[in-house]
Amino acid sequence: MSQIDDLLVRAWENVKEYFPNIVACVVILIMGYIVGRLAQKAIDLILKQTGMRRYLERVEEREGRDIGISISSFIGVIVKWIIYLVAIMSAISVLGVSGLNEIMAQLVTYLPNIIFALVIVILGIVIGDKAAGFVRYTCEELKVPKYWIMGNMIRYLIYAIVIVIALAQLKISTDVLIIGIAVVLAALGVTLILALKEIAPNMAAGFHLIHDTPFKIGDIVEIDGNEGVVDNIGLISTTIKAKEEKIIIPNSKFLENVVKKKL
Amino acid sequence: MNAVLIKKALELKEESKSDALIVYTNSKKDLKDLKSIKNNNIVIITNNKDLLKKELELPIILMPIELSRIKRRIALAMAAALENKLIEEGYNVVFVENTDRYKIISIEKAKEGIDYGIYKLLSKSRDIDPEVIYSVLEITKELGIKGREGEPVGTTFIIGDSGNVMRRSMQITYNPFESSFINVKDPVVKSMLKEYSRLDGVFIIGDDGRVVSAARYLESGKNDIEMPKGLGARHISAAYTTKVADAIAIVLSESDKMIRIFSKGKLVLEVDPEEL
Repeated sequence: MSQIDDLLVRAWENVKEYFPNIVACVVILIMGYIVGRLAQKAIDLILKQTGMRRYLERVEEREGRDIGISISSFIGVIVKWIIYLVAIMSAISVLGVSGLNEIMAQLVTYLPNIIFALVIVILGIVIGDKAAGFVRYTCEELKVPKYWIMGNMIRYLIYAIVIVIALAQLKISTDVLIIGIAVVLAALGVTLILALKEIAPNMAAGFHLIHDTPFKIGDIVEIDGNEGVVDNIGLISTTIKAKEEKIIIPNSKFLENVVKKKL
Repeated sequence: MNAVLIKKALELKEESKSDALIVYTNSKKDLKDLKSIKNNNIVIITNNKDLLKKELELPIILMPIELSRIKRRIALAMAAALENKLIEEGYNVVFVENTDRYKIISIEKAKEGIDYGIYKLLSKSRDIDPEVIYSVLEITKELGIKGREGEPVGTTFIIGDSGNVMRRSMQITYNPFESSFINVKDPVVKSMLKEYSRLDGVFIIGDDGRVVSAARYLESGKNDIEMPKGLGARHISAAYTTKVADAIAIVLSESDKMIRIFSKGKLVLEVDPEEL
């Protein structure tokens, strides 16, 4: 009996010793919770007031459903959790359990990386969107059809770079990803060069035909022994309609050969 | 789930004693399911070219375009079956659609209406992209119903064979579409074309939907064109152009607000925009 008594007394003494710490720990946790919630609210408000939220929402809308989460609310959530983590850490340090303390310390030193990665991702999305818009606008001005393909290409390239930088910030090995992206880019580059070798001269000639209009749709032209009414002038090729056939002629031919225009 | 819809449609056909069943589907699996069914008067309608390659005892029709509104979709599918003589006028038809867009069963009555004419026009348009014709039809329909700024408008679109049409017409005022790549299939172009309809003259649209020119005067004549009496210069010149060039003309009349479509110098379709 006396043994159990002794045990209970010792346990009570332990509790008495730790009791202020436990109370402090609970208080810190509650404070952390409240501050975290408040911070989230404040960030949401700032984003809303500065118009950043509207911009981010517009980007998301254009991107469709592929992002899945709302970036603007995501920032608030992340900040909230960072504050929670700090609160939990200080609560644990008050408790004075050394093993847990170390783990938490490591987590907290890792925090800036998470924040940086987050900032990079958000900046990347904004920059990607702006760049895509710029390219799209330029292509539209130059009257390049299907301009959105170019815009999207730039957009995804920037996203890829952003992902690599963000992952590097998080100290996750990005070697495999970099190699993958490099291979894809190289393959794209080779195809593009091969394709452009054929297409570029025609496109250059196409710009000439469209802007300087040596002949218009409806004119009768003769080139390489083909005579007909010009039916359509495209960037790459021009369609000529003869009596019973349509002749499609690559635009570069119009620069290389003599073209007779019937009056 | 998919098989159920068609099974129920078959049951419905039996119970309602309908004359035919039209199945609108794009999936190969549905075709396989239908293969096992021994039943008369089943017609398959599809937008999927690959389905045509399948060996099948059932008649199958490829639609020239894919419409978004269900009412028009059904009507055009019925028109396609009618035109191909797979059903006859007055038939009671069970229509079942099992595509990503709609899953629906309904009972319809076959009759030669506007959609019959539209189907004929779209399926026989040879060089011209059917979608282009339909886009222009949509624009004229909206102009016909609402007008521009509340005022009734008349306008003409000449689609296809743009080279020859340009030869047989002349520019009234500066062409706003000079060296541009604006396409009528692009939905944002709609309101722009509606605004340009205030210019005197016609729109000339290429086979692929490219807006070649606006504000052009058409050459006119009276040889070999069949026209109901009472139509004015707008209609006659449009009809004449379709005679001399391989184009079709879609004309919105300012006076009676009717849409008339000409091909090869003949009036092929006359529709009230409200019914379209």
